[in-house]
Amino acid sequence: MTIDSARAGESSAPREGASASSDTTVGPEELRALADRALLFQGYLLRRAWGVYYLIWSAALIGFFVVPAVLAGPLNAAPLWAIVLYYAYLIALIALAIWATSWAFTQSVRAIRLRDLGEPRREARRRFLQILGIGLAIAALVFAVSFVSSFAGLLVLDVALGGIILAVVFQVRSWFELTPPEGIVAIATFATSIVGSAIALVFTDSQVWFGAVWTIAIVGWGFSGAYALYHAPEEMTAHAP
Amino acid sequence: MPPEPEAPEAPGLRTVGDVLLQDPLRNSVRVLILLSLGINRQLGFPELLELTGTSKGSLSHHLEQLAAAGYVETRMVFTLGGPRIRVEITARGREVYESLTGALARLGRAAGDGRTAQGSAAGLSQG
Repeated sequence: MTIDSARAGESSAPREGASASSDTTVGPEELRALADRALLFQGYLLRRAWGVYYLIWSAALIGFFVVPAVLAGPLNAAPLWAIVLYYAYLIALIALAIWATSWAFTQSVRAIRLRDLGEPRREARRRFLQILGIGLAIAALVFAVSFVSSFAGLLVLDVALGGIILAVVFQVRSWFELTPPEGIVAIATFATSIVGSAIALVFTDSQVWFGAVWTIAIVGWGFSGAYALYHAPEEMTAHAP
Repeated sequence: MPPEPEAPEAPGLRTVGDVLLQDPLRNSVRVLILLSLGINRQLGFPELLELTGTSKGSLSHHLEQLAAAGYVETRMVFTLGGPRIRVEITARGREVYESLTGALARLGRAAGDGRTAQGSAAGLSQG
């Protein structure tokens, strides 16, 4: 759906052609209608942010699971500088994924603030810092454990990533009455990959299989990102009064 | 014949009436722009076109009015896709936005019929 075709269905846009010569005072009912319009627009921004979030995480998952599976063998015999470079690359990936998470979260908070009219900014900032802190703590824990045992590190990572699903479900449900299709696909594929990779790790002890199972989430989140971005303009019309 | 009683003024707007009577905000498009900028802090020109559903020329005119009143600032930013116009709400514009949202909240409580922004959001559902 193009933005133009979505706009053709709009029924809640303000009066077109309003100019200084035709200005009139905005009354209570119109103010409510304008707030509703702003709410629809916020839904559009939110769904678009989620699309970007899914795409970035899809790319990050490739870096987290597919690349290490490919490099597992060579990395064992690699010099120290190569290992340091590899971990620097992982840290950069985590930073990018955290940024995408915080951006999507910020959009969620803004949308909900407008809807609920009055959540203090202090509260939103506190929640953002909490999530950022949790993300950094998880990253530090995974790295610390992986230095001791790569197997344990991967298992810890699997469990920690399960928390991401919960965060996604919470954020999506806090705004949307029904979970959008891309959200369902993202949650289902991510959960499948977590369970499948843990099983693969326990029964095969193979990082190759571990990475292969995560392609389910990679493909799923790539689809979810593209789907959300393509259908985001529908937020402006699907729920217009 | 006794005079007809005046229709009661909508509760919640009394404190924001002066704001809405000012020239920059005597227009629904400009009020809408300010509402959205208040929550997003800054938006691009294409996003504002999506929000308002107006033409580029009309939107430019409205932004000029808001900028002249000191409610927003426009600037050019350079992105990978080339130069883009960004519109950012000022501190003064933020005060006006807070007045508007305060009025909306009071309107919602006064109406008590669920037709508030929250009520509207509750009716949203993904198809």
